[in-house]
Amino acid sequence: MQALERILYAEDEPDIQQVASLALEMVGGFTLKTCNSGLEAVNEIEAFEPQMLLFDVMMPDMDGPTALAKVREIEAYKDIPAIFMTAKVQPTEVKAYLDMGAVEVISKPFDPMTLATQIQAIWEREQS
Amino acid sequence: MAGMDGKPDILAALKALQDGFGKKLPERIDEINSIWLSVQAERDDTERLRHLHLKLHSLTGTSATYHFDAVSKISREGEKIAKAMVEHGGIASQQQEDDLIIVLLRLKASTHNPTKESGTETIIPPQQTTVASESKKRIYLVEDDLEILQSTAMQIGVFGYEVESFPDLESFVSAFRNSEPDITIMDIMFDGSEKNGIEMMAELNSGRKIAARTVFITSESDVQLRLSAVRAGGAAYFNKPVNIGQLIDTLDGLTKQEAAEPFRVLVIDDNEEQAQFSELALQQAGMQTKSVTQPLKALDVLNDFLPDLILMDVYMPECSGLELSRVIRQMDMYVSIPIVFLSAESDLRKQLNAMSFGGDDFLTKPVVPWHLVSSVTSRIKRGRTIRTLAECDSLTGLLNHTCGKKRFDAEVSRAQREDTPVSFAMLDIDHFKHVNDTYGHPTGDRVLKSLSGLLRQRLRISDSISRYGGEEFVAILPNTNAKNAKNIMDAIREDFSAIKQQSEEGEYFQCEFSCGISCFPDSDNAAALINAADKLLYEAKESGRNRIITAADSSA
Repeated sequence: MQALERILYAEDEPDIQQVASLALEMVGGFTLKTCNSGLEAVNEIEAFEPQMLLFDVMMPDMDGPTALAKVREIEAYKDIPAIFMTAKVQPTEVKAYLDMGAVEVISKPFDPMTLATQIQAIWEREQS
Repeated sequence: MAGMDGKPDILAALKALQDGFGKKLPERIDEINSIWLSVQAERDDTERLRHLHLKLHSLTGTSATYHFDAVSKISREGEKIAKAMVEHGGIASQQQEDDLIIVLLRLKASTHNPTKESGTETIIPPQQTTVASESKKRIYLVEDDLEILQSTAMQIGVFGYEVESFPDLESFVSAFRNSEPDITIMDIMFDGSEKNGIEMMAELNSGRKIAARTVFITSESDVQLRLSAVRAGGAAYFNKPVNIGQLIDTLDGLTKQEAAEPFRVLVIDDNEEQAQFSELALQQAGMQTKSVTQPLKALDVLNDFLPDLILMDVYMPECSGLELSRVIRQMDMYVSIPIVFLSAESDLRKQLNAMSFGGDDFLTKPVVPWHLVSSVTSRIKRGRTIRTLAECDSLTGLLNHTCGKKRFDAEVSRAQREDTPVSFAMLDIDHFKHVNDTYGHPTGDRVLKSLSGLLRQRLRISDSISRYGGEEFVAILPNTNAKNAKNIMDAIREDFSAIKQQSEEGEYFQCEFSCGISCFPDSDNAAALINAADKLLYEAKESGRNRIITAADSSA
């Protein structure tokens, strides 16, 4: 199984970006590319070549679901595993996000000590 | 950034971010207020409403992320109202408007006391054992003020560190790339630019998994600068003029020879998944764990694993956590071990009941790992502190009088058994009362710490050092005859007198000590040796102080 190294992360809130990058880079040891909006993520994806996407749902410019749809239009990334992060985790909403092609929804606030483990587990599940 | 163990010090970093966020909160809430004012001015402008909703939404999320839970809760209420306004295409009613105003007022009030939820205090993770090495630790000191560079290098050198000085960043970088030091002490200001030192370390650290250990020194003390220092891997941060005593404490902490052992936690939970979850969370914070799913087996594991703390489920078959804690508390060895209960029980009365059975804390499931780690850490720290208090002198961390004496008895017995020498050195700082009277007791304490630090740095791990009382110290040097002991202590005496002590007002002064050394087998029991050293110390004082006297030097 291929090891997870590169994650493309989109989040408009700098304060949350900082905690997430601590959690993923320092605790998890992943290489992270952080984008400030969905649009930026779509523009950066081909240069960065991520193995996984981690998108905030609600962002100005372009929200997470729209950005994911754009990414899926690119042939090389039509199957890339994507995770949404959101504060709203009503079961019906989770289902809606999964229907949009996300493999998992992580609820905010996340725990910085275990976020990396959580994402690693999702990666391994998706690879098997 | 590097923790004491060289692993990323995530909790310290989070703490820095959390503090930073708390400081920014009032500003963010003011911004939301001014957006709201603009909405009120243009009541049907849905664009402004959308903006308001988005800002409230992100405040809800970020404040929750940083555990400003009260703020997040209020903000969420505001977010809902704003969303309803957006959907309505404007402010729907007077009631709605009033509701939002009240929310914004409460938000504003919450920043005056933006208490984080209790139990979310973030704590630096425990240090882990590094392999003790007797070799000198190497320090790179980078400072463009040559006078400060020289005097700081000299002072640090006295404490047994090998110091290399660099007056500019270029020479430092090439030396660093060539061979890395144990610690870099870096002035932040170079060529008038504020962040040069930090940027340089950040550059050297980029691409590395573990940041080089760095202590930053600056004349500024603003939060942004501190935060960027933390991000550049800074382990500590000092303002100028640097108090050498504190700097040495920090260096000692970072390079600690007998680094504190990792925290050990025994998890007792009949639910295997819950036990694994707790173990994982604690392990990620650098702790050692063991779990037991059958409560009755706990006692066997206790004696082998010797935990610092027990984390226990309350409801278990066979034997409840409450019963088990009573059993554990009945054993002498575990009278004071912290026990933390974990349970879905949120009934306060039942929690109190559990405490009366000998529990120290009660965590309600589901427990967020972050909370678990900080709760366990603070309990263990306290427990270890209590143990240390019983054996060590609180100011210097050296053994106290009683323990020092016991150790000496043991060393003398061993010397008799093995027919080897052991030296007993008794030191007393000269004119110490004058230091206290002139500069005050805090400065006097600092002097005591500087001597204890120096002794610890310079003596071997097998030597034991105790604070005998007041300004009197004792060093026990096994396998060392009087002549060698004198040479060792004399070098320390010389270096101690070279330390520039600093008063709280910033005045500099110097201190010296006198010392008497007795040696087994010159006397054949501990009491006689102590007595002899005491007499020799008296002689050293009488004959002019700042000297070492052994039986061979004695005129008596």
